[in-house]
Amino acid sequence: MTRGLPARGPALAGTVLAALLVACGGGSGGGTEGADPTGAEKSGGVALAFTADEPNPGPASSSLAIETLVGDTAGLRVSVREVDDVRSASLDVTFDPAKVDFVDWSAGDLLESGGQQPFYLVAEQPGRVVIGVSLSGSGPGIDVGAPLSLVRLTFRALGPGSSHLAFENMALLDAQAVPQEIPGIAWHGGTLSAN
Amino acid sequence: MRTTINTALLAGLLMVGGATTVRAGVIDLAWNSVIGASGYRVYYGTASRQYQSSIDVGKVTAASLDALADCTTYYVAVKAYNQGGESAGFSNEIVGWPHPEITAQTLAAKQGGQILLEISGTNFDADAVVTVDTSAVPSDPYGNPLVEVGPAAATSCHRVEAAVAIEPTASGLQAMGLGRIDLPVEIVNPGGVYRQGAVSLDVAFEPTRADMNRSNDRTDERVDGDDLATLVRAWASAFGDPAFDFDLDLDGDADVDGEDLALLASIFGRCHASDDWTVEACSQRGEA
Repeated sequence: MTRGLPARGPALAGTVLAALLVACGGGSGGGTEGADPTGAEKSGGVALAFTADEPNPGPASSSLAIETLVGDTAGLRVSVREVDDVRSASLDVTFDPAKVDFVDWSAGDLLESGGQQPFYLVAEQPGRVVIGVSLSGSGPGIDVGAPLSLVRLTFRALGPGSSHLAFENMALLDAQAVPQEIPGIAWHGGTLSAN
Repeated sequence: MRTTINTALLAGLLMVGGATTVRAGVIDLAWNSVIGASGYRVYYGTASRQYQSSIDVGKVTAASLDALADCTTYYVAVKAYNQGGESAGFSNEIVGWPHPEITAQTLAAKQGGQILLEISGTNFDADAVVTVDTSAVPSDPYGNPLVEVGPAAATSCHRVEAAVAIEPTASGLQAMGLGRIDLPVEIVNPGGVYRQGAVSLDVAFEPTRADMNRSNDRTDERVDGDDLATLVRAWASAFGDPAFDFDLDLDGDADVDGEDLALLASIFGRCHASDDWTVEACSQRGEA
């Protein structure tokens, strides 16, 4: 059984990068879930800020939240709260490629919380990151109460200006044999600004 | 003293063919030996009993005429000779084309594809019997071949065609494995002159197979996390396991493993349009 694809593909501008992390052992990041959704940092002459579209996400939501702001780089998490039976997720995060650059990703802790290591597929495209995360095999989904990170994403500001980071093609998927979208999830993006 | 040659003894002239050499424009001949003959001369031409050319082949009972025009009917007869001269009459006359030749070739195919197998070469008679040997084609666990070849027939002097279906042609069937598969071919022209050759199919992954979860407009015609989720539901399963599903076994090797995940990853984030899977096709779906 092959389980050895690289965790991160080589950077090839203008091409799809399919990056696969098999059985990833936890994420990098370290922000506290539920913290202030707006961050600001000024370092090296760049003032970077992230403004969540929804500062106070409600239950059954998935939202972008700030974890770290270091220099021109922002670490964000896709934060899921109060959703039952999550076993997979499929989502895109879109951005303005003239204003920000997708730098990297790392595992979250939501699907890892049951003790199993999920599969990640992340493809970088111009202005878009396509993300798939799933537990393998059959079994129950994860019941999420307090916010947990689905995946962590790092963006870098290319210069002064702002970019809205939005979700597209997004779904949290249940534990059925053919995964089905969990209905009623509110998705909230945010804006990354640099000046 | 002159010895008379009895031409009746030359009645055994045959056109022969086998998988020996690969030469175009060749007719292979054999005949019975004649008592008293010191050699033989082969006569040939493109009209019956009007032989424009001849060749002294010496004291042998088989010869090859080469450098003949392909796809042209030749008439051939033999005379024996000795020190008294050639026999008065010819042997029986044989008629036919130079023997067929099959050009080795590799044809591109995809899982689930139905292609026209085009075998090129020369001297394919319209009435030739063409056999494509599928005995080396792998079968699914139920014994059904993963490549099916329809009746093959010569459509011109230089071409034989056969319809080929490569599994899976429907959901729930095992996919043909990726890579090359050789299909031996035999072409027998009228008169039994035959040649053997081979064509190869280079079976490639059909990206549409990775679009496994089409449960709604969001994920239909798009390879995304829904498909990842579907694939890994059967992770590490093999044929016979309850979780195994042929539709998730992208590389057709009867298990769901990292090779299948790698195939999925190869087109992850792409969309289907105009018979291709591209990132640009996602834009046509209205994505930003």
